Amino acid sequence: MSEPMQHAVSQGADAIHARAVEWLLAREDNEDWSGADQAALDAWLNEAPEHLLAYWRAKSGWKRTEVLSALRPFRPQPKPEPAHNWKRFRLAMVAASVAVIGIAGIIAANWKTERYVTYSTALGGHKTLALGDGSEIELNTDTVVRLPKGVGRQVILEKGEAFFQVRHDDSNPFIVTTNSGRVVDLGTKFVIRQHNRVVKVSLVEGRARFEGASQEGEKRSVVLDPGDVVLATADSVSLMKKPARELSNEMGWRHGMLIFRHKTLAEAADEFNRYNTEKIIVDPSVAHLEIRGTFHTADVSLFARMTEKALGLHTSTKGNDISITR
Amino acid sequence: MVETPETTRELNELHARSAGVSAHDLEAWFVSEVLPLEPALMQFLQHSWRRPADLADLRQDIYVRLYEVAKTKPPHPVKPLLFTIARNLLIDRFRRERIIPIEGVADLAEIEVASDAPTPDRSVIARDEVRRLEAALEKLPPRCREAVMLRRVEGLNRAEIALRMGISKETVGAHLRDGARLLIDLLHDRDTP
Repeated sequence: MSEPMQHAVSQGADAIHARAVEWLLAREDNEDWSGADQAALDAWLNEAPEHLLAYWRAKSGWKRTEVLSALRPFRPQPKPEPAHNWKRFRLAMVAASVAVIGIAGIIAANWKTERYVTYSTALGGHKTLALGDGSEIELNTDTVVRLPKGVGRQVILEKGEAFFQVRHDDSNPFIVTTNSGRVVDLGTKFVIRQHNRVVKVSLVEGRARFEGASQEGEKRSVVLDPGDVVLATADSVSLMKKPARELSNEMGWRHGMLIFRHKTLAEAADEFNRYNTEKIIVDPSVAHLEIRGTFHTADVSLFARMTEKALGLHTSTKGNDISITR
Repeated sequence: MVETPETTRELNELHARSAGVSAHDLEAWFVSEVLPLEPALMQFLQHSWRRPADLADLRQDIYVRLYEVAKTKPPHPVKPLLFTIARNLLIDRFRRERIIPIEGVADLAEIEVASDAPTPDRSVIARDEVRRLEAALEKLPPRCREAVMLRRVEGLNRAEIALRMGISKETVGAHLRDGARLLIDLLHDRDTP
């Protein structure tokens, strides 16, 4: 260190910083960031330690603003500017023509509140609601949703599970409200399941914002990217990341299938029991055994046979109960 | 030379070892141990060097020198080494520019004490983070701030921001770049609100 090191400073620090930020944003913006893009970035990073350090520095600074988005108390969006109002009106007209097609068994209209129509599925049911704005809602077993009768895209998931494929509209957000918080679409496909006061939101494609239930007048909101899974109750919100494969397995129900990879017998039985009047009861001594396989949601008997053959267990049927024991 | 003998020895020892450090570990080390010292470093440079326009370049050169050492083995703690490197670099510059650094030397002595001031506790850092981010955001030009907020808080992409702000995607890109550039500098340089 006593000898001054040689430094060929080809570019000023500010210019390198600006370039690093450009790379960072390009990478974040580009949904199909390719191998070639990455190679170009790597080449730039390897060109000089100045580049690498500037990139690390920019990345960590930008990351800190991400924390802000997750932790920041929800603030109401700015009021729309007058210029947007006519557009909003036009969209309201489109939304007013929301038509529901291809629904075989609408069970009940909700008479309590005139503004909403209720759609539901029975145990083992599965149906798709096609909305007039191009969005689709696919209901899984034992599910209840309420849709606004006229204007608006504010859906309420009362219970169960649904896959939402939303036609995004900036000025008229699609919002799904649950017992514990709500999801605001930002151009998206997502699944919401509501069960025993716990809401689970899995983001499949695009972006959405989850807003937790308000606590002391303050809301917590998190922006979700593909693979993000939120578990929320009335007073807690947790966020985790799941691989795409796992999410797609969890959505097997959309094709009438249950796909188990590393599931315990107890978890698999819980899944089956969501779809069928026959209930599988797993003895606690074998509940932890792991199972793999793909089953039709209604095929309880195949599942029972498989536990006999593959795991050497005993099954016995009594009325609607199928017991699995050692 | 203002260099302290202990640090020189430490440096030589470091040079002697040659364990390879992965880029991933280096990045983690740089982010968690070096960047938090940046406000103190910048304060030191400001006191010692009279042309504010040179500060970012000086910082860059100091980081590169530190990085060359860290490639062999990331030093712990970083602070003494970082400030030794900073002092040496300034002395090189003084010589090169034939400045008799009377003011500079005085400041160097002063800062040596300041550089030993304890860094804030991590919990304090976490508690202040949102306030600090908000303060930094306040300093951005309004349109840049709006674009950055739409991106970071609402998670909109460039096209969506363009629609919301009623401007072209290219202009959104420019606002985002300028906003992010400033914000990142503000967050690193001025850690004390």
